[in-house]
Amino acid sequence: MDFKDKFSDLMRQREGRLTHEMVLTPGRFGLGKTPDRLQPDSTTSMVCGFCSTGCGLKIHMKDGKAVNLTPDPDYPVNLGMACPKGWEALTPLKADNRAIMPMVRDEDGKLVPVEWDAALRLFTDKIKATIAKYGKESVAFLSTGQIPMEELFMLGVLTKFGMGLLHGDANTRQCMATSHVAYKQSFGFDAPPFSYKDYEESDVLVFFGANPCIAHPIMWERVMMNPRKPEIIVVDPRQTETALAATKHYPLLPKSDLPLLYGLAHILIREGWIDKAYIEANTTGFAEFAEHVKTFGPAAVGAITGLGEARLMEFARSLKPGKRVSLWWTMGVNQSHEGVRTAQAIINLALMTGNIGKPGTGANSITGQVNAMGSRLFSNTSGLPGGRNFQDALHRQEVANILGIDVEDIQRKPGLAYDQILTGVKEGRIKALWIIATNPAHSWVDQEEFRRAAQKLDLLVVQDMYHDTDTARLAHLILPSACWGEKEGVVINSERRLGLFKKVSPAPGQALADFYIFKLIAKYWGCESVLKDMDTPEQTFQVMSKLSVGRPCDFSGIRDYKMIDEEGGIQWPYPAVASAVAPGPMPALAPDASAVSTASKANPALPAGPAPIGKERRLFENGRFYHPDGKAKFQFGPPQPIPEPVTPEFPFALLTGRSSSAQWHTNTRTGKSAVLRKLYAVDSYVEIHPDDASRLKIASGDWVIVKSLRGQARARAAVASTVQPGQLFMPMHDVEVNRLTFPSFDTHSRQPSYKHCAVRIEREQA
Amino acid sequence: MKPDPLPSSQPPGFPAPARPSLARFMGDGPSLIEAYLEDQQNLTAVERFSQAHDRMHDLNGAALAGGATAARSPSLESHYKDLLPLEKPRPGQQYAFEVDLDRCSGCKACVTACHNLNGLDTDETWRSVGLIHNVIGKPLQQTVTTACQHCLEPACSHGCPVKAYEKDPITGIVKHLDDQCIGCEYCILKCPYDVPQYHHGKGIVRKCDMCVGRLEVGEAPACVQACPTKAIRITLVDQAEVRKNFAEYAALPGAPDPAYTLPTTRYKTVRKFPEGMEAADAYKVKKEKAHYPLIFMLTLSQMAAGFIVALEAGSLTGLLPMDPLFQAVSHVLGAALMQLAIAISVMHLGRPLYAFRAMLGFRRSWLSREIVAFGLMGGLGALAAAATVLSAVAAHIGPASSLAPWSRAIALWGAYGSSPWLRVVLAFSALLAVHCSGMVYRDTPRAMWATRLTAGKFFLSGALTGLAGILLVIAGFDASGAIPLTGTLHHLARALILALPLGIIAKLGCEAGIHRHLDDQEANPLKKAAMLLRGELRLQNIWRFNAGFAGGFLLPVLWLYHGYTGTGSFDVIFAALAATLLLAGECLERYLFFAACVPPRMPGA
Repeated sequence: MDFKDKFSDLMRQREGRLTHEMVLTPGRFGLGKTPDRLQPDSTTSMVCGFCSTGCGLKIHMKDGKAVNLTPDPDYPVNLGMACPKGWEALTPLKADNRAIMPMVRDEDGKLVPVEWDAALRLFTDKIKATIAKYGKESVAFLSTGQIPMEELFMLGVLTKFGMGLLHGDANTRQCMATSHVAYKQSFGFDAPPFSYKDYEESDVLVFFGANPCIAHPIMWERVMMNPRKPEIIVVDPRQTETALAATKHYPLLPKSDLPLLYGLAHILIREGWIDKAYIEANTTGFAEFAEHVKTFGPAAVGAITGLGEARLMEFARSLKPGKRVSLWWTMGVNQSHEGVRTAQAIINLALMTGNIGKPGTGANSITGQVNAMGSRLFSNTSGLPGGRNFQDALHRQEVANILGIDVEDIQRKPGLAYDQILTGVKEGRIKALWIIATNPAHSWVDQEEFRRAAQKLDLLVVQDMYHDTDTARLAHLILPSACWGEKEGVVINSERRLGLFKKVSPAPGQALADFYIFKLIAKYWGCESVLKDMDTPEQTFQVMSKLSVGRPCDFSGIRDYKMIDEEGGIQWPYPAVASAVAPGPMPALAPDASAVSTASKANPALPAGPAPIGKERRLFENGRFYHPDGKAKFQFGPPQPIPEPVTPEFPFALLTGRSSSAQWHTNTRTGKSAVLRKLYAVDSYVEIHPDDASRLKIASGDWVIVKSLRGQARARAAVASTVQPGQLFMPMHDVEVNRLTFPSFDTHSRQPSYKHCAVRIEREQA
Repeated sequence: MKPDPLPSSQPPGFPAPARPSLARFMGDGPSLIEAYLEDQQNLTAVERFSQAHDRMHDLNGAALAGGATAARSPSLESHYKDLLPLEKPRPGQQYAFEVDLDRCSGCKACVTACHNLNGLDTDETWRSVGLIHNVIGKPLQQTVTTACQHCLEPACSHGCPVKAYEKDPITGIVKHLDDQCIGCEYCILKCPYDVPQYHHGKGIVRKCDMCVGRLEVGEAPACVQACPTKAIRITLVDQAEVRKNFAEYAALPGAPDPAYTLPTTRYKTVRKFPEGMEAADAYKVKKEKAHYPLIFMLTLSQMAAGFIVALEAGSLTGLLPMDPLFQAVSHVLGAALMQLAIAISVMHLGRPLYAFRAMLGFRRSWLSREIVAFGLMGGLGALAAAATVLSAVAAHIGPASSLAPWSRAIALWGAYGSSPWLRVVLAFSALLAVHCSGMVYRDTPRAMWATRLTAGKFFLSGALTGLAGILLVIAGFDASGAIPLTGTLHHLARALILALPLGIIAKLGCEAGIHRHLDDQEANPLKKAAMLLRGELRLQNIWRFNAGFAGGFLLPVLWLYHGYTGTGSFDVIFAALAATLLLAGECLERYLFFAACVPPRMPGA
């Protein structure tokens, strides 16, 4: 380079270090171009760790560690797409508030780091002492739907069969308990029947209390792929993003969904828009149901829901037989004081119109957390592993046989539900509480109630990946967990697909996978034999596989993790012996696996051997359900009054929900990503209708105070006609919200009702 | 605790050896803890799963391409193939983003995909998603995703003093040359879409290049690849068509005026947006970046300019003393102020070492011109200072004829100190510098700056602080007894003191004008600026007024009332106080000039 070139380069530099930093080079492994400095030397795919969509993420590995990721194009769930949380999934691992050592609260009330040995001794000594003094009923745990099912299962086995505890529940109580109970009562098993393919194959999609555009963007992707120009109906008091994208929106009054559904059933029956043959052949209880909905005439229901008779008729007409109708619901239904009956009213609509077991149909509960279903099936909390019941002697025997434990060690009725455990704490019956990977100090309905209860505890142990969650701040002992990406295990998504978590990133400091923590506690407790044959997550999976045999969720056909990896996830049922769990009446309860083959012989119409995996499978294609008679049941009950109606003093109904696809639950993880933080409103906000706002002289951006009988929250006003007059909306991700919510619970599922409480709003005095 | 060896070192197709299992570990508690802690650090994914995975891909690749070395198309290609134009742009055409608003569900994956696939830094984003909505009437809301608009008249490029932007003649992509950038951030002020992003660590600006490296090989840009609902695509647009119908291209409520840059991104929708549709963040006001070096650079350079213009005008008209010492001290002060301003201005740059490139953009960039004008004024000022100092030295050592040759040279050069030409040129260069500074801000799409008021503010600012400076020098010479304040000079001083209150009233009047926008109906940038001045910046605004009023009005009036004593340090204190308060007030004014200047933005940007 001569001087002239050098000079001209100095004056006008087209390339150099800064340019090279941004160079993209062709990726291998099916990737397109990727940043050169993050060029992977291998890739591996795993399931995202946030929501129940269960997207496959292709992790870019360099020198054996994760450096970047892209959504996996070959994974049947997300087809190469991800929401912002998925794209940023690796970022929260590197946050500097990770818990890296066990921590104990000292005499001054400060949390100080201690060695694992000391922490584990403290844990076991304290809990043993509590049990010795107050009995088994005095210790409980609250876990999660965020960790792999092997860990959830181990926790259930360790606590209930090893430590002898009776009470444990999970945050799935806050999200899926309603669907669980509704399906169980209607179908005979907790079995969401759909596959995501159904989004693409429907003519009519109805979303009840669901906002997939924000809550499940990748499921919405599948809706957008539907080539049938579907009618999309959204039933939600609020004009959500999904309501705007829909072809029809029914903004019913809050908590009028059950009357609405009965009203629709009334019209369908009256007009004869039902599938009589299907009802006759595959269901029971229809006559009683028809009798029940007689009183729900369109005029009355039109008034109760605020929709009017004409719109109700229009709605019912959309459900007329002849089209593939799929019915979907999420938290608007589940988190309700009468959620179970509401979910079942949706199921009833599907049953009476024959919209089940066929492509593009179904009464479909979209799950919330990544492993809510794993928790429902295997956590040993509300039911015995494999979707079994504590009350059933045969079920207890099966579990005892497979785990090699004494059947007498198995409790004969389920332990307390989440709210009952907290009541126990409040009333001093429960003295020690162990919380794993959940954040009730933010998320519990009427959060102050939880915080008050926590003050009464002799011991609060919080096992979490961060040492400063709202709940960890209250702890006496913090156990540092490795998180998603730092451990292995299986999770089950909304369409019953088992997917893998893998270990792609080193855990910080002395954080340990929950798996190891449970093993260590077993060791220190002196009950490690109860976890025998569970020395690795994959071994544990094999134990669980045995427990699934003969159950509707049978996945015994899955050889190992590798098979799940290679198949891109596998939906249950995937039995080693197909006939055992093909939809239909369950086989005779099998005390051990060998009995299953007998059952399969009993039904020669079904093929022997594993069913083809198929990328996407749905349930009930043969019209047989899991009740002993093989039929689905119409379940119903009278609507209950709203637990906390608005009053002149608290004239607004407060609705809660998700506000952005970039936030997850209590924002402990998503709040750690600088990019995600740019994608949501950092200040708490409350949506208010323009009419109400102008009456109260509130302008967009003003700080306001929202008060309920339980507490108050400060937020910025967002004036928008997405809410109706008399209603407010606040995002659940802001910690203030649950200072306001009203603690009412569905009587069947004990799920809290987050979506309706009475509040008032005023401008903050400067 | 070392990670396992890389699988790539193993022969392909060979399963990784199993690690010693913890399966039958029978140790005590602490040693089990040790073992688990160690195992926790062993990353197993690669050895257990990735080989099969990668092998499968490589086999597929080899099969597809017919050879192991040939490039394979990415797995996602089928997803985005129909989102790219089939042909390369023909002359008169260019690539452009097209957003189908009806398909956008607001998931914001485009932002994160752009971040990850381009390897951006922790909090760096080149795409943003905002929301527009209809508050009154039929509820309607729409998310809007934006990145660089790859404009026909890229303001970033027009403003760049170092030509770090290029609009590609074939693709039309507006590309930023990272290594050419000096980090002056002027493009950020110029772009109405808030596209260029300053990177603090690197001291440069970076921005979306439409993933040109991907487009070249038929891959879709990151955002296009990643949109789950295929709402973003790349199209070819006719540039003439954009020029003609730019209003239609920007048919988006809440978006900045497209006439300024002729953006090419097209937003498609079958909906009709109602009249009252606006950005959901329209009422969000947040103070802007203050740019402290620029605050001091502007106020000091304007003080220097005011001072120099007053000095030369006074000297040329004979109102100010031609005493060599007075001239030397004044010119040194003026030049020092200017050099200080220039030194501070360099601190503003992210990469000051490359500041010399700044004249490259002279043809289009006012910033480039400002820098050249500053250089000119700084140079001439230094020259004048040197000459007047020499002149003073010469005067001190006696008449030229009686001296040794070296002192004759001093006298000769010193003579330039009184050259009227140098004085005139210097004064004009000072006026030019202030003019260019004004134009730097007037030539932006920011409503608060893009007005003659900006020039008015800058010149008044210079006049006020410059005159106060001259007063201080006069008072100083008087106090030291060197030049007694009598006759014309006394009258001049009185006139100058009287000028200050008039000047400050005009200046504060200029600034207060913005407050009337508080009553504007829509949330325009001026209204938001007024809201900021009354809200978040209220305190600074009050102090700005207090300082200006005290230094420019109260003190001079008191001074006049008290009567100009013509003796002693009393006047010096008055003059120094007035000058300091005025300068402080102007610095605060300039702080508000930046902090309250709300730029036009895309919704959510």
